[in-house]
Amino acid sequence: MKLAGFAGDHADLYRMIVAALAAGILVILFIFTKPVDLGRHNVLLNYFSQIRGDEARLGEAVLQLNFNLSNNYDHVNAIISHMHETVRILQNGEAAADLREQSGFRQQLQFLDQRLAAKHDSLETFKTRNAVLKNSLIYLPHARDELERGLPPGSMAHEHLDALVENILLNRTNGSLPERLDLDATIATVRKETAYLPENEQHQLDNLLRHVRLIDQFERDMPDLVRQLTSHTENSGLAESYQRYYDLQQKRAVAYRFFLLLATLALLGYAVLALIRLREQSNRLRLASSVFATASEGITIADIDGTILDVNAAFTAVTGYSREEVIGKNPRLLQSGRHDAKFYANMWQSIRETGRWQGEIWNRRKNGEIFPEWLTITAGTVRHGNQNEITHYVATFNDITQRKKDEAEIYQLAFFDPLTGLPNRRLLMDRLRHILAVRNGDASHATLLFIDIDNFKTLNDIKGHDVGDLLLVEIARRLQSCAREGDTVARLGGDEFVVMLENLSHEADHAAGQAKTVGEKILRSLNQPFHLNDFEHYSSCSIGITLFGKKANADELLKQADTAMYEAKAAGRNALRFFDPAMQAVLEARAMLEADLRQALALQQFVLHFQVQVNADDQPIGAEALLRWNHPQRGLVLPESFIPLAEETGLILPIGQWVLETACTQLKTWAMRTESRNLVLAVNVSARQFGNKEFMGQIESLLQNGGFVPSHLKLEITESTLLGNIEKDINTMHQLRALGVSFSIDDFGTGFSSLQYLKRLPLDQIKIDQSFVRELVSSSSDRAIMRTIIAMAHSMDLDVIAEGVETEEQKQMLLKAGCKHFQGHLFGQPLPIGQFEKMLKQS
Amino acid sequence: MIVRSAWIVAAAFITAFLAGLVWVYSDWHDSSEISRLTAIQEPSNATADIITPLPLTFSLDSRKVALGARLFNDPKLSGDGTISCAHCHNLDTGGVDHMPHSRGVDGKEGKVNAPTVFNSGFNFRQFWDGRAATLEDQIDGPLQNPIEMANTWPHAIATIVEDEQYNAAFKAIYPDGIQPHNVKDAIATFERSLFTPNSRFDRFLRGDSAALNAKELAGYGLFKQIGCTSCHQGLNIGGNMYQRLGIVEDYFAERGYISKADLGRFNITHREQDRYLFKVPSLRNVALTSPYLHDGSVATLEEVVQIMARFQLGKKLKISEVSKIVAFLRTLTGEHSGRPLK
Repeated sequence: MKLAGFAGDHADLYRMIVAALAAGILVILFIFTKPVDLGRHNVLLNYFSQIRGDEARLGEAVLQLNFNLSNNYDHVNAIISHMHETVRILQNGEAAADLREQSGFRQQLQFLDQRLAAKHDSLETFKTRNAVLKNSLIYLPHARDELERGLPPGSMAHEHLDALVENILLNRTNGSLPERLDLDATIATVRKETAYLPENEQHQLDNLLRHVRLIDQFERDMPDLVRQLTSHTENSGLAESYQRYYDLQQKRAVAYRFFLLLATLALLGYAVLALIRLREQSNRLRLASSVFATASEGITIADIDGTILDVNAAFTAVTGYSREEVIGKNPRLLQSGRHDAKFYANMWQSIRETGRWQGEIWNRRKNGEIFPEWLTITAGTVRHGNQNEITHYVATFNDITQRKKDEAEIYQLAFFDPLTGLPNRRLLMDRLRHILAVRNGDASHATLLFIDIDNFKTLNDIKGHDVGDLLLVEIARRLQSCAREGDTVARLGGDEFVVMLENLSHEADHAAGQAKTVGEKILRSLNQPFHLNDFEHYSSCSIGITLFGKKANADELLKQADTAMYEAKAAGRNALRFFDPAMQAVLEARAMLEADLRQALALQQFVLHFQVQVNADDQPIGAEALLRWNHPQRGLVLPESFIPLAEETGLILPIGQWVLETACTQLKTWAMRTESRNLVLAVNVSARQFGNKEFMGQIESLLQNGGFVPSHLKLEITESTLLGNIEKDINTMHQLRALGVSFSIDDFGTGFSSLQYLKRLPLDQIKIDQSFVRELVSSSSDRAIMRTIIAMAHSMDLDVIAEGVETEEQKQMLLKAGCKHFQGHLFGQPLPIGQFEKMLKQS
Repeated sequence: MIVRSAWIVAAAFITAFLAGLVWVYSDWHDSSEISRLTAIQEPSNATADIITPLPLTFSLDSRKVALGARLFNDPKLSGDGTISCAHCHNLDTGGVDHMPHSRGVDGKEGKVNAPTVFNSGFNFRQFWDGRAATLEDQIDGPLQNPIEMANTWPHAIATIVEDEQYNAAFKAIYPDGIQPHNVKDAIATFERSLFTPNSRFDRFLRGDSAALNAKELAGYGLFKQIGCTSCHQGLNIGGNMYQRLGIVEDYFAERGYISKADLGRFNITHREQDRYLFKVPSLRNVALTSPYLHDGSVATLEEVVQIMARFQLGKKLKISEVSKIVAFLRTLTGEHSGRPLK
C-alpha cells in the first residue's frame, strides 16, 4: 500500500515535471521574444550621436580657441570628459552589456577609445601651445614696435626685424607659405645688425627672439593638431556595428515571437482539447454517477486499505446502513460470521491474483438479519510501468434472498412431486446416476423397486381424482416408512413409484434377499386398508425389482425394474418379480426385430405363402394366404414371431393392407384360369386392422377393382379380434358380408368366446384350431370339444374346416365327426405361389 | 489525464504571468539605468567669458559629505594613525599647510608643495603632474605614499571597520559597507563640497561692478592684458590645462637645480614635450595658499607674479603693475559655508 502511494507520487511528480517543462519552454521563448529594449536602443543611439556631436563641438571649440574667439578651456575639457564618460559607459555600462559580447563592436569600441586618448592628448598639447602662442602673438608686434623705436628707420636691422616678425605672423595665418624664412639665418642677421644696441634693447631683442622661436616651434605643429582635433574620430563604425547587432536581435526576437505564438496556440489547442475532454469526461462521470446512484445493485467503493469511500442508494436499501454511517468504515462491519477467516483469505487472494472475486456471501444487515448476497469485487488498477497497481476496490452485490427462495422453490418443483412431496423422476435419475458414478470400487449392491399400484385407474374413475390423490399421498407415506434412512422413495408419475435401496450386501443373493424383504414389506403395507374420505379402500401393488452392482445404465436399470414389474403384473398382481436377464435378451431381440420390421415393407421382404384347403375328396377348394417375412439375416420368419410386434407398433395396418392387396391380386389371377377359378382365398385379419375405421373402405376399394368373385375372399378373424367393441365389429362384419366377402373364425375354442356372441356373428365358416387337431388321436377331451364345435357349427349352419391336419387318422376322425374341409401338411405345405400353382396342376 | 492537462495549462499560465512580471520589472529596471546613464552632464555651452564665477550651490549627498568630512579629518587613515588628510590640507588655513613641502608620517618631507583642497573638485585633473583624473583616484596617492600617510587600503579598511559609527554610517549609505571605493567616494564627495563661491571677483563677474575697486579692476585688466588669462582662465582660474614652467626663460636654470618632481608631467608620459609641464594651478583663494609654485619656493604673491611674468610671459613688470595684479588676486578669495575663507 505504501508502494501504491509512492506510485501516485511519482505520477504527480511526472506531471509536475511536464508542466514545469512546458512552462519553462514558454518562459524561455518569452524571454527570447524580448526585442532590443527600445529605451536602451535610443540611449545607445543617443550615445553614438553624442560622441559625434561632442566631436563636432570639440572641433568648433578648438577652432574658436585657435582663432582667439575664446580663451576658456573649461568647455573643451567638459567636451572631452563627456566623450570619455560616454565611451566609459559603452565599455562598462549595462546599456551596452550585450553589445560588448559582439567582437566587432568591442573592436570598434577599442579603436574609439584609443583614438579618443590620442585626441585628448592632442587637446592637451593644443591647450598648452595655444596659450603660449596666444601670448607670443600678442606680445610679438608690441615688442617689435618697442624695439624698433630705438632703431633708425630704414636701417637693415629695422628691415630684417620687420621681415622676421611679418614672416612669423604670416606663417601663423597661412602655414602653407612657400617661401619659408630661414629662421636661424634671419635671427643671426638681425642680431648682427643690432649688435650695437644697448643692453636693455639687447634684452628686449632676446625676449622677442624667444617668442619668435616659440611661435616658430609651436606654430609648425598647430595646423596638424587643429586638423586632428576637428576631425571625426568616430567614423560611424561603432554605430554600424551596433546596427548590425540590432538588426540581428530584432530578427531573432521576431523568430522567437513566432515560436511563442506557435507554442501558445499549441497550448491553447491543448487546453481546448482538455476542456472538451473534461466536458465529455464530466458527462460520462455524470452518467456513471447516475448509474451508480440508481443501480439496483448495491455498490461499495473502497480504497486500497479497504476503507469505504462511497456507497450507493441500493447499498443502503439492502444493508440498512446509510451512506454517512459507513463512509470511512471497513466493509467488515457487514460480516455475518458465517464465513471463517480462510474464506476471506481465499477471497482476497483471488482479488490480488486475478483482480476479481465473485461469489455468494452471507452478510448481516443493520437490523441484524443475515442475508445472502451475490458479490462481485473488482480491483481498480492503474497501469504503472509494466504492472498494475491497485488503487481501489469496487464491490457490487445483489440481495439474493428472494432468488434463493425462488431457487429452492424451483428445485422443489423440478425435483419433487408436488402431490406427495417425494423426489420425482428427474431427482431419482440424478441420484441413480450419482450412485452409479461414485460406485467405483464399491462392491455393495443397490436395487430399484418399481412399484405400480394395481387397479388405480379404477379407483380414480369411480371415486374421482381427489380420492386417487389421497391414496397416492398415503401410499407415499407408507413407502417412506418402509424404506430406510438414506433410501430414495420417488414418484415417477401416475401410480408409479420407485424405491431405491443402497448399500445392500456384497453378495448378490443376499442383496436380492434384502431387496425382497423390503418389497414384501411394501406389499404388506399397501395391503392394509386405506381410509379415504370415510370409506375403506383395499389396494395392492406390483413390484419389479432389479439389482445392480458396478456398471449399469440408469435408464436401462429403470426399464429393467419396469419390465420386472410387468412380469409381476402378468403374474396376477400383488406380487413382486425380479428382473430376469434372459427376458431382457428377448426384449432386446424384439427391439431389433421392430427396427427391421419397419423397413421390411419398403424393402419388399414380405411374401405370401399359400396352404391349400381341400374337401373330403382331397380336392382343392381354396387356400389360406400366410404371410412370410423374408429376412436377409434370419431367413424366412413366421408370422408368430413378428405379428404381435406389428400389432403393438401399429405396423400391422400397412402390413395387413399389403396382405389384402396381394391376396386380391392373386384372386384376380386365379379367376382368369379354369383350374383355379373357384378357389377361395382366406386372409387373416388382425384385431387392430379390423378395428381400423379405414378397413371398410380398403375392402370396398379392392372389391370394386373386381376381377374375382367377392365371396372368394374369406377374411379369417380370431376370437381376440372381436374383443374390442363387439357391437361395432358385428356391424362391420355385416356390412362387409353385404359386399359379398365371407368370414371365417380362426382358432375357434381357444378363447373365451361365448356362444352368445358367436351366434350374432355373420360367419360363414369355423376353423378348428390345430391344437385340438394335434391331440385328437390321443385326447378324448379334445375329441369331445371337436365334436361339440362341429355339431354347434352345423346347428348354426356354418361350414367347418380343420387346420393342422397331419395324418390320415386325424382326417378320418374329423370326417367321421362331420368336418368336410381340411387344411394341413397332409394335403400341402404352405408354398410360394409358383410351387402352389404347380401343385394345383398336378392334382 | 484531465487533471494532468489542467495542471500543465495552469502552470503554463501562471508562469507566463510571472514572466510578464519579470519583463515589466526588467523594463522598469532598465529604464532606471537608462535614466541614470542619460543623466551624464552635457558639456556646457561654450562661453566667451575668460573666467566664469563658481556656482553658489552644489548638490551633493549630505550623508556622504558628513562621512567624508569625518574621514578627511581622521588620522586613523594613515599607517601610524598620526596623519589625516586635513593634516596637510587644513581647511582653516586655506586648505593648505603653508609649508613649502608637507610633512608626512614621522615628519617625512614631501616632494612638492601641497595644493589647496578648496575647489579641487573643479580641477580637470589632480596632482601637480595631473596623474590622477579624479579626486577619488587622487586619494590613492597620499594614503599609500610612504612619506605621506604611509598606509595600505587593507590596513586602512581594517582600522575603519573597528569603528562602530563608521560601520553604521557606511551601512546606511553603501550597500556593500566599508570598502576602499566607498571610502574614496565619501572623501571625494566631501572634497567636492569644499568650494568657495561668492568671492568679490565672482560678484563682479555676476554684475556687481562695485565689487572691485579701481586698483583691483586695473589689476584684472593687466592680468588679462599681459596674458595671464591664457592659462589662468575658466571656472577655476586655472586648473584646466597643463603648462610648461619656464616658457620664455628657463625657470630651473635660474633656480639652480632640478629634482625628479621638477620634471612634472614628463614623469607620467616620458615624452620630451611634457618635460617641466605642470597642471596650471587654480588662482582661487590664492592669497591664502602660500607658499607658491610646485616647489613651494615662493613665499609671496608679489614674488610669484613677477616670476610668472618673467618666465612664462617674458615680461618684466613694474612694481605698480605687480601691486595691481596682486590686489586683483586678493579678490579671488571666496567663502565656504557662508563664511569668507581665511
